[in-house]
Amino acid sequence: MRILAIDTSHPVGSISLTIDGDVAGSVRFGSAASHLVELGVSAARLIEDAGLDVSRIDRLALVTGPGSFTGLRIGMSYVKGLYAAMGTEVVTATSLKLLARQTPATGEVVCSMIDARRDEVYTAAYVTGDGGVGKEIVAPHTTVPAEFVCSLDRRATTFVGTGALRYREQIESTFVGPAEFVPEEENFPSTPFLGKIAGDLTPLTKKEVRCLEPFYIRPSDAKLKKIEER
Amino acid sequence: MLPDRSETAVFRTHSERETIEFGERLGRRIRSGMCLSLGGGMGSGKSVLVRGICRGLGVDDDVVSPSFILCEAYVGRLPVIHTDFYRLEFENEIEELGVFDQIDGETVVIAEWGGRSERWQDLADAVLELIVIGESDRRISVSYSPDVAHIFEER
Repeated sequence: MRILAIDTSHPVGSISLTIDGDVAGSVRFGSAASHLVELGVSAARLIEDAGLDVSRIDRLALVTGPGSFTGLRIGMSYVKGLYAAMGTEVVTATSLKLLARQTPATGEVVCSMIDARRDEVYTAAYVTGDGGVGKEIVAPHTTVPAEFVCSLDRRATTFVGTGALRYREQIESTFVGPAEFVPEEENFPSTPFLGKIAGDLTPLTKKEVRCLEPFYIRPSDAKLKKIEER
Repeated sequence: MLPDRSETAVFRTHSERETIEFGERLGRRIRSGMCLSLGGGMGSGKSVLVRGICRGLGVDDDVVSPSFILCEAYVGRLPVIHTDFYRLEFENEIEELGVFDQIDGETVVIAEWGGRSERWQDLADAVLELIVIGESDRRISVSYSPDVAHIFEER
């Protein structure tokens, strides 16, 4: 199975092509604003380098968020466009779950934390099982890192993600249990990893693809203040 | 940390040209990315002021009112995003527009009708309110963080 795995949820985005579980190629690209330019070009290059054309891609795997709102919409539009044109199967993963799954955790819990800027993180936590990540014990939400870490119990926890990287000192000084961290470059969603697991995910139905939206955790439905005409 | 806009200043302009020149002076003094919130009624000169700020930032393109296009990006000495919340109804529409993402320390992000969003207003390093006091006279009240004082303090 030939799978194109895409992540535009972070300032550094990436795309990978896996063929029958092996990574045929992978590209990382720069700032959120450049995702629009670089995603399509990188995809075309990966497909061409593998001697394929886009019609030979069997499945698209997309990171739905949370993360950069602009980035998420770029990845989402790209995948929906390919789906509309080629009918390629689509599977999805949230950035938080993917981070947890890609982390070789040694503790009992994996806590994904993505930098949401303005002193906040997107976070979720999962218990680790025999085959990797198991039950979600903290649902995805937005929080202030130190406050959140105080609310965790003392189980040995591996912290992963750009939020864990950024707030490592705060986490270390407030977390009551043993904390572990991953090497710096492993704090981003890995599309080579996503490509490898995407074959086992269930493809979305036509309706699900049509209704697919970025996973923004911060849906503030607050109505804007009334405009006073002067 | 949210900016502490403890400083205030009031300026006067007497024509559209003076408003542009005032904006241009501000633009020239902007050294790094920041978040600006502009208030004032229709026709008070918000877009005119932004045109001046962009000029001061070295933007060569024509700066147009983003009331209908919602958001426009320019490149000058620094990247500039010019947006307008007039036609938006909910806070999450601002989020979806991606302008919060642009408050990244490198981009000058300017929102007209910024006061419609409490969150935007909280994040702004400076809030400029344009008040019509005559056909072409405007009073521009500014509250700003001491971090950006060099932009508003005339020397």
